[in-house]
Amino acid sequence: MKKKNLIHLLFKSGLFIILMGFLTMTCAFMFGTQNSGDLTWSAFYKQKKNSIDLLFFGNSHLGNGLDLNIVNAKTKSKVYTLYSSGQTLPQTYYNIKEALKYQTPKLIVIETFAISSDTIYYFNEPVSDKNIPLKAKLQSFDSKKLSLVKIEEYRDLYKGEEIIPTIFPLIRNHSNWADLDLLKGNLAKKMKPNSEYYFGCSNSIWPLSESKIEEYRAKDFGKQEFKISKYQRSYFNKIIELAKDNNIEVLLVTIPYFKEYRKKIDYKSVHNSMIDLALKNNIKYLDLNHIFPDLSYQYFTNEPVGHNQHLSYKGGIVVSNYLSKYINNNYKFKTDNANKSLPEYYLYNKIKRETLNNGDKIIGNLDAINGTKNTKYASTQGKGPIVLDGWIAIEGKSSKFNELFIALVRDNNFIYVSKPNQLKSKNRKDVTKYFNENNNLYDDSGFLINIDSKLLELGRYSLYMVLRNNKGEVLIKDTFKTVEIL
Amino acid sequence: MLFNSIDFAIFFPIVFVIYWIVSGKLKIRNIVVLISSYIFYGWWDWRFLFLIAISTLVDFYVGKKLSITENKITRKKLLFISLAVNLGFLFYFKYTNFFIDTFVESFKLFGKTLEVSTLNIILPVGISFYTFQTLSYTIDIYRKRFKPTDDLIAFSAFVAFFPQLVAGPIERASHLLPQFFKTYKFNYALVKSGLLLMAFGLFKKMVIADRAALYVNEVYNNPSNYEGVETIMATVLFAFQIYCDFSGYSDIAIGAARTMGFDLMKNFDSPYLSKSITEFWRRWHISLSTWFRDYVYIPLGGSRKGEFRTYFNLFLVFLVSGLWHGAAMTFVIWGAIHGIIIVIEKAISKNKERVFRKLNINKENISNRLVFVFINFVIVCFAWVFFRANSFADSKLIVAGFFNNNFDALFGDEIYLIGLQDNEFKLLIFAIIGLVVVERFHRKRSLVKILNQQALLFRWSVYVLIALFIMIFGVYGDNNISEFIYFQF
Repeated sequence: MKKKNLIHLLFKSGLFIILMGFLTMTCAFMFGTQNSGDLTWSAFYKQKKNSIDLLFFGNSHLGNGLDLNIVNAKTKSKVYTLYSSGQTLPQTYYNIKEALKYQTPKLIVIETFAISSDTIYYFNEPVSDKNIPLKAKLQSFDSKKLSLVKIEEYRDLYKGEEIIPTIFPLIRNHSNWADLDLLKGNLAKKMKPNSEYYFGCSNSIWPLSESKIEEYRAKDFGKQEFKISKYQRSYFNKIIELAKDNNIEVLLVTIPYFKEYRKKIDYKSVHNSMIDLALKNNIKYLDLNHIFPDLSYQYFTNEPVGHNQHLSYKGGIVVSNYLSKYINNNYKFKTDNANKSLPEYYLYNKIKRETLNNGDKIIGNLDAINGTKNTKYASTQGKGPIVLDGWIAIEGKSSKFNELFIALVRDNNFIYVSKPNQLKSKNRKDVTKYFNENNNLYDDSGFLINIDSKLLELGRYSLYMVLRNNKGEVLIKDTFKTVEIL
Repeated sequence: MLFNSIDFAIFFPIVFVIYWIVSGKLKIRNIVVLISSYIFYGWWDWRFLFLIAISTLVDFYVGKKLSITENKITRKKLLFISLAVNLGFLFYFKYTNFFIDTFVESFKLFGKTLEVSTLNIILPVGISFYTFQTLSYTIDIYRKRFKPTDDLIAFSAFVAFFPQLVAGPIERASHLLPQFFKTYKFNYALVKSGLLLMAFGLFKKMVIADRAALYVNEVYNNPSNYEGVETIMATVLFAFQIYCDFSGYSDIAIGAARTMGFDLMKNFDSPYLSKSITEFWRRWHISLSTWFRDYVYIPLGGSRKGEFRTYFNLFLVFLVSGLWHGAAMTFVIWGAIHGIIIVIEKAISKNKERVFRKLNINKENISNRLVFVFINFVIVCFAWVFFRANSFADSKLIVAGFFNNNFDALFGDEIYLIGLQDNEFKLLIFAIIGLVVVERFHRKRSLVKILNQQALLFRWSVYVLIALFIMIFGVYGDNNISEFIYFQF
């Protein structure tokens, strides 16, 4: 009787633990703060199976450094990034392994800061995943679906005190309960998930400041020789094996470092180590530091001075254009998979798109450039922002769910496309009224945008207004107005 | 090992299962209890296990010797050995530095400075608790109120019983020791009620006490930065912090013991609903106050030696009780305040009754009861200032702060954001109100019984909600695991 009761209790306890485990995992999304890993993985799982041609892996250097919308447009291939802040090579290995369950990319691009950052960060301390803060590590772990790969990664990379908080994000993030806005936002996101055309790029629109440049000049970063550790090599070898087994090519890319920093560290040893790694594994290596050795401060973003500098959007445009050309020249993919819900696809490929097949037509007007009605406007670089004011809508359709963009097209190597959070929505009841509409059709069609002229290269830009409807369809309207940066 | 740690969450289920597997075999069961208790204690610092072992051995053999000798002098000598060893450890580890400090300070009063430095002594966790528990054994045998045991394992398990080893309840040998000679049948209902009590204790500790601590610590660690309402708020919150911290520990201890079939004494009985300090001490840390009553107050003569001696005895007991809590002058003052109020209550009790009768005041109607409860709570809170303050100088700052009238701050935001976020403060207040309501209700009707009468789905929903509530709203993680306040005593 006694044993039976004890077994009964243990059974119920087991059931209770399973139920609690399930509930804590289910509720965990409410308490987490959004990070790059969440965004990239949640949209990744929504991609059509076997539709991605190029997969990018790396840490924030990749996320900030490249604009993959450009690569998508110029290679006419479907490109996707699974970057996450602080991603390390072992994590990249598990990310690739998980990604290959859903996609059959033809090329995998690995940004090398994920390899060198451990050592550069930690000054040649024994390199292992233990050096990486748990919060950063989990960005590439949390949002992956529960699978054998995830369990394998968990067992391999998370030890000791990391075990419980890793597997139970609710326990790790429980103290966020007091931030009700966060909870509300997370719930809303769950109800209305990311669109499947999210590409994970997070290019910054804030160029490096003069004071930060001075700090770079004054700071000592150490000149330690860089070596790739055995630990990292072992994971790189696993990645290469995985790629071979799946008939995938691998490209190593190094996004440019800020030159004031690069010349202070033993960069040669970083470059040579990567060349060595590429040669030994018979893969290509593109060091963009050698292509763009003198990128000015405007090509980098304004972040704390340290080992970890990111490119600004301007840097991202330049580097991504070059990388696209490099890929086109070195890899032959015959695909037409490019994601066509991105404005860059039409802008770089000069595809006019004022009307959709169903007859939907873009309407709108760029009312003012820096408060003037002129069709041509000139400004000296760095002398204040370019301010554009106007409205965009689809004729006869509500503007409520449209995404608006502004594109400044210089030539096929430099097109500035505004970021969604950069553009302020402006209420334009006057537009609705002008069209004699009585159902608030165009009330949400207005926009106002400030563009830092330092983020534009010198030259004359044609201005385009771009709209994406809630189905991901893009419409583009030429304003026939120009801005010249002198 | 802390009750609110992952270590205990792993340790307890393992011990629980092993305990019930071997529970039919008394000797083995007691060995399991003993080993697990030593692991529990040694997890903190294994070296201090020797202290427990020495206390255990001394009292075990003193007890045996006392039972076979009738010679009064020998019996006194044996009792002295037990007192000397147990209180010797306690005095050395807990009070040496206090007496050195006091000694040096007293010379300063006469304008002389002594060059004596304090010793680097670590205070063993729970030493005050197990010392008092084991002393009750020898004293009761000396008084011939209890027969000693021949079973060293059972006695060792009694002294070191892990649920109540480090912070009580301080059990009497006559109540707990016989339970080590009984085998228990696995009682599902009892285990369930024990687990629920543990969950309730964790709620008190992690949701209320540790959250209130964030506010209290900020104010009490920087008393010169706060005044008026802030210090009053911090003191009221400390009253709930210490209650939830300590009674939470007791709940977990009683609950853990209950899951193994043991019955530990009740330690708290809604003390803040007391209408006098005398009643407060019948409801607060009951195991300690009854210990002092039986082993200090009554041997001093209790109330048998006249009015003034009674007052003196009462005052002395509370003074010693203050010192028991901590080796600092602030604890002595805390004890003295309680002692003085109790003496006053005792002295005026007859006249008070007479006045009430003459003025036709019904003490039992709700409004009057509320007034008495409020007055009593104010006194208790005032005394807590000295208990919590880091020094006597700090306590003076806090008390002075009470009288800086800034009640307008109650209508601002800042007062609610000291050490806490806005929503955390709201949660804290709701949790405290909820606690008072639940405890009040539970006194009249057992909530566990009511829960057991509900449908399975409802019961499980309640269990899950309790666990989720603690998991989400508890204060833990990021090095936030905090010890129980009474561990230091």
